[in-house]
Amino acid sequence: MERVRRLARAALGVYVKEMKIWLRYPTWIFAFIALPYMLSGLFNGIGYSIAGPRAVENFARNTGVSNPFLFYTLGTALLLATEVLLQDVAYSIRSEQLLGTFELHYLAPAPTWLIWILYLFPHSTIMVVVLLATTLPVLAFSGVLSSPIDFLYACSVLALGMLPLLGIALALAALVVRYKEPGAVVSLVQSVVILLSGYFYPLTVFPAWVSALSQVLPTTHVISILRSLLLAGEGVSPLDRRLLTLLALAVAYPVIGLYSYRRWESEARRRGELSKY
Amino acid sequence: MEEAIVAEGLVKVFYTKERKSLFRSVKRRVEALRGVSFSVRRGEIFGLLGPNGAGKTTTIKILSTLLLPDAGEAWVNGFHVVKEAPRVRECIGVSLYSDRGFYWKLTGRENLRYFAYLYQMPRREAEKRINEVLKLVGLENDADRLVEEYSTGMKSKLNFARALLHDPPILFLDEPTIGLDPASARRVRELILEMKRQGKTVLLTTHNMFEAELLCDRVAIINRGRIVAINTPSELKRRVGRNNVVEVEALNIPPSAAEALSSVRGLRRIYTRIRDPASSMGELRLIFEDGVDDLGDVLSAISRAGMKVLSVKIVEPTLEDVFIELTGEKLGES
Repeated sequence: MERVRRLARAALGVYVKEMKIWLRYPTWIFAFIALPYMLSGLFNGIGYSIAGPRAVENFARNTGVSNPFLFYTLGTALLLATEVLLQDVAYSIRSEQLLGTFELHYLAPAPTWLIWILYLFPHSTIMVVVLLATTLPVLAFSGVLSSPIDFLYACSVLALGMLPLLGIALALAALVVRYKEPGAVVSLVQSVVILLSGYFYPLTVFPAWVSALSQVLPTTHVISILRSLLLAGEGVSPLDRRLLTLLALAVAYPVIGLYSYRRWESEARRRGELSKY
Repeated sequence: MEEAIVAEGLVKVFYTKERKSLFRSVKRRVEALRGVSFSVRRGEIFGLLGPNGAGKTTTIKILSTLLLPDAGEAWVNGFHVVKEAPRVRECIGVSLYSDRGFYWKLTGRENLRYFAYLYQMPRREAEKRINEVLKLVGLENDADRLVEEYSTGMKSKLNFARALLHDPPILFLDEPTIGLDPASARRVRELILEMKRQGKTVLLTTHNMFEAELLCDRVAIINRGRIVAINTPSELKRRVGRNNVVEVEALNIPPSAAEALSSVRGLRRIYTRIRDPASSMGELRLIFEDGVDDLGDVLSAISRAGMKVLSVKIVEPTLEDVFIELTGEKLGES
């Protein structure tokens, strides 16, 4: 119990510190709130320019959703959440390396992998606030916010979907500890996730093998479930195949991520790379 | 256990890449530590004195669990640095950089608060301790300013405060005064002595012989990954011998000064330190085998070499003399 209490203190320290730093750079808040609407407008514009007056009709036929604005806003909000989660740990480590604080974390008794994971909580809080601020008005305005229980269910699915992303984030963090450069790898992984998750189009537009490949991404299942719940008004059973797959990924990916991180961390301690930046 | 720190046969090898061209690099093996052994008694200030690249920081990093040794073992406060790393971390305070390692957008107090939580200190205890260490280092009036507004000296003090935050019995200080102005360096030295008065064990690295003499109860002289001598500063200096060192301040010191004076009787070693390259003004430091037989002989040899003598003194040996005596190199050469 004492151990848990001590770790909770470390968690509180990370939470308060990160929130303070984020709030002292406040401009990103406006960007995060505005981006889903702006990107949604962009996609709608592209759609109209390609498909002309029949764009909405075509869209409804291909996606099963009649409101493209709603479709894209939800997709963009999820994209932002994924981006933050995927790059958060890696970029936090990079930032600590540059500040000279990275190595200092290894002098504290708390396990470092846990500290890096704790970095996600303040950022996730901010993301949840942004997501709610962004999607709730659109959902309410569109009249699809049928039941608060469905919305809570959707939030739980979202939270579950973030766990496998955490595993991927830890694996990316391991690469940053080793190579000191998060940009290329994180961007590459993010691109794959964006391309194959189907945030902005149904995956049926791809060949079958691409759709099959996309099943290893947690975000594919998250967006699919959320569309069923929030846009199509369909119920999703707890035994739904997508939900069970998501659950399996939520166990497997963090284990793999943690193993990779600890392995690289030990290697960095052997090579003397903790202090290099 | 009488010893606070024990190191036995520490070996560390690094592999670095030397870039030969844009696409070609050659791997180079660097032996940072070649069997370093020493022990530090409880409550003493122990200095690792050596030039840059001698292995001082590598030693501190192994002892503070940041680096794994390739061979050898070490214990800090009775805990093994590899097998019991979390226990070691609980009882050490480490200052690695004098002005890095802070969150610029947080205040000094907020930085300390973060590290107090990382050390899992209860909130009330943390706040009390933060106030204590801020007062100790003299930052209590600047504690609520953002670190980005701090001077180098203030950051150094904050760094020191962070090392003391969880009140550890053992402190590792890596070049604690490097880059500081004289007043700030003096304050940091006073703090180190204050830590000793409080009963803490301090292991510090320095290439500043004056600092080592002033602060350390015992000094280990380290060069090229090996410890070449360990003793109290006065015992180490006795190796060179009293009345064996002559310091000559002169003008026009040529690069070949050592050769020019090699015929002086009883002269064991000579080294120069140029202060003003324009006038080649500086010091000649002459170390004799067994006292100075004839100063006139020395002065005429200097005069023959074209140098103009400004002053001549028989001086007490310094730790730098000891270092040169033991390694044949100047502190800044390795």
